[in-house]
Amino acid sequence: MDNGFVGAGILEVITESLYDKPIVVFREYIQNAADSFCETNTDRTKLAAHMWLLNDCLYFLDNGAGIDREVFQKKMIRIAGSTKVRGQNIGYKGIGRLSGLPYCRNLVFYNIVNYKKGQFQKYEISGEKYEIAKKRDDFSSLSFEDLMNTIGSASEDPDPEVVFDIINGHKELFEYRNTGFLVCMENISTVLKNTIQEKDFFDQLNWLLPVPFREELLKDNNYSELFSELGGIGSVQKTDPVAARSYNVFFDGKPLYRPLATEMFRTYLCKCELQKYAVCVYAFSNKKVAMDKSNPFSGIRIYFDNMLLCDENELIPALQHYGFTNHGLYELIQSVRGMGAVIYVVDKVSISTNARRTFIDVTDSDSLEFLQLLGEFVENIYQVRYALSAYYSQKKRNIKNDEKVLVLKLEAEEALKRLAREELVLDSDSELEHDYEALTDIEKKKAVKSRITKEIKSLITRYLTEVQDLDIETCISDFKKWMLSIDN
Amino acid sequence: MAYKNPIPSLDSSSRNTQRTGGLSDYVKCENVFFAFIDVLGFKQTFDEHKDVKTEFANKYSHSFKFFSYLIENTKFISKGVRETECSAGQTSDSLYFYTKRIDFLLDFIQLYSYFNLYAMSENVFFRGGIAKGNLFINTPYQFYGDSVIGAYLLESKIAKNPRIVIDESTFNSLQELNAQETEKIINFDGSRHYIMPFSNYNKEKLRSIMSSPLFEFPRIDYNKIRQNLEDNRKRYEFDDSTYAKYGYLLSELNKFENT
Repeated sequence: MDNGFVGAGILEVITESLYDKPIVVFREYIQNAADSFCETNTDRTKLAAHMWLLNDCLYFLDNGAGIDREVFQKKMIRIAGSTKVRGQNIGYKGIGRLSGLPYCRNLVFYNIVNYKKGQFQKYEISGEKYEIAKKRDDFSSLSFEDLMNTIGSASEDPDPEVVFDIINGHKELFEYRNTGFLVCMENISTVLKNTIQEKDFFDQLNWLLPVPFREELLKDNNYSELFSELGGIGSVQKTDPVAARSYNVFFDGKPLYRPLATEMFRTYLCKCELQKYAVCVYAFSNKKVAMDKSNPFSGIRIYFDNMLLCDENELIPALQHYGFTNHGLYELIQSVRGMGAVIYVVDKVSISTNARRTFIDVTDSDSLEFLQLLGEFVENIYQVRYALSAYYSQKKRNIKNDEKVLVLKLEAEEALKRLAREELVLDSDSELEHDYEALTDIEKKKAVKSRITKEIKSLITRYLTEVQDLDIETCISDFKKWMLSIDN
Repeated sequence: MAYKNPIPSLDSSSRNTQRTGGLSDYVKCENVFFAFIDVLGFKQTFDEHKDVKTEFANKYSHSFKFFSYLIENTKFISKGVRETECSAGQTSDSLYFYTKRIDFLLDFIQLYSYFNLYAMSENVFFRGGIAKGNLFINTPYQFYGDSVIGAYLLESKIAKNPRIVIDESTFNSLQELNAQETEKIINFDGSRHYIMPFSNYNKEKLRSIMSSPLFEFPRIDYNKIRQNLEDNRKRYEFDDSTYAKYGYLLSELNKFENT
């Protein structure tokens, strides 16, 4: 922030709360690289981010726009002073660059001002000095800027040979580009090392980062149209509403690709618009909706700017919390893991992420409506699961009872068709209300009850979001007072 | 064109009702039997008769018309492609037929065997292939896929003689369906299965394929076939490849008449 006092303790909050999982380091630095790509006018095929591990040091190098020489140092010591604009860029609030600090001894940033002329700028944050500073008596009264001046050091003219030595193996990035950014995490922690050494680490990166779809999907006659629509590597447009905008990202020289493959797509692959908010691509079977551990395309993954936000482990509890599902947690998780879905948020004005970037920011009617749509989607999966199960078990059990089997078959087919709709809309009672005058008294009461229930449900959800102090003893009268206040 | 979701149902097999998108709305079908049948010597005949009146072409026209007449009156074509998932037609000098149903394929082969005899009596000879594979279909007459390529290659590269060669998948499917009937019309030459150019046909059995039980099948004149074969062999005595083809047919005819 440019105004007001920001204490040194914020660094602890940032490093220990916001970025408490090692894998987020990769997300944050690639997000910064992707943002810098958006600031160039270069054909995206010539832009790339390389990550590599060498001698216990983890490096992130990109050939994006870098940072203006005049403002580099200022940016390094400021917090949340980002010029990134919410809704337009991936990361914002200007704090992502510090995500590596809990996981290394030294965090070094090199701004590549002019590669060909060997002009660089450097800013280094010493983890050791930070540990010492935290023990100071006056630590709590230190400003963030003072802290950074204590633990950080800048150089306008670092030895270019040192930089060239580090990035020598990645010269090709600068064949057509002259600027970029390099992050060096020196002496990474054991926790981060262990994460990198995990068997599925590379796959985790493939699912996490904004990387392209495999070429087979872009060439397959069945799917090329779909995956080209979702996005691929092409020319950069700042206002491009591409759902799955991707970048060339490499780890240890290996290119990363979204791990989707045709053999994962079960019987059907469908695409569905979640109104204006998101587009969903999902695969399901017409035989059963059941977990298959051999198929990695399972469950629901939600992406924001093609960066993994969360999966069903966060989504389903949220749906329960906001009252968008009445089913049990584990049966829903089992249901959604019997198919696979990737959901790309496309409306970044209406939908934003929380500060930890682990879920959407549920603060207004748009985010609630989006959650409600997700709830509807999950409900459709749940219905298909049980409809298919009922049909096939009845069919197997009782061949003579054709009528019952036929009814179950029709229900299962209806559930399948509902799941395969190209646009998800929330059910409305408008049809019932249209014929309201023609209804019997009982039907009128049912219609009124349905409308009131829906409205109350929506109000309760809003109430629980807006009001912080909740008292179980007075909750009903508090709720009534609140309703009156919003009516005024 | 935007991606179109497939229409799910409980009866569809793996991804066989999936729309492919692209400029046209081709639907991918898997496990389709595709028959590609080409007229033998069509180009050569036309080249030889460039400067004369077109009576020579009448025999082709007559044969193609008879094929259409037969096919259109079968149950599997007359009911419509939506119901039976079969289609047949003619393009230039070739005939084609495709179906997902092995029983319809067997019906077609039996009917074709009869038709082939009739065509030979009219001095028209065919060579072809039947293969199993994918077929991308837009309208019933706009298609492409592995099955078409396979059938074409069987016809152009493998059959050599005037016969219909079938691929192993198709043969296995026919065997599974009805080994006895298959044995009556399919032979094996040591490396390839093929439809026997000469086999007994049963009018009652053929009528069961047709939409009308009263359908009349013209009698086959085997003497005329023999005459045509001998005349052609004599005519192409110095064209080694063509000579061998008619020699092959004569040999098959002799085998048939001696059994």
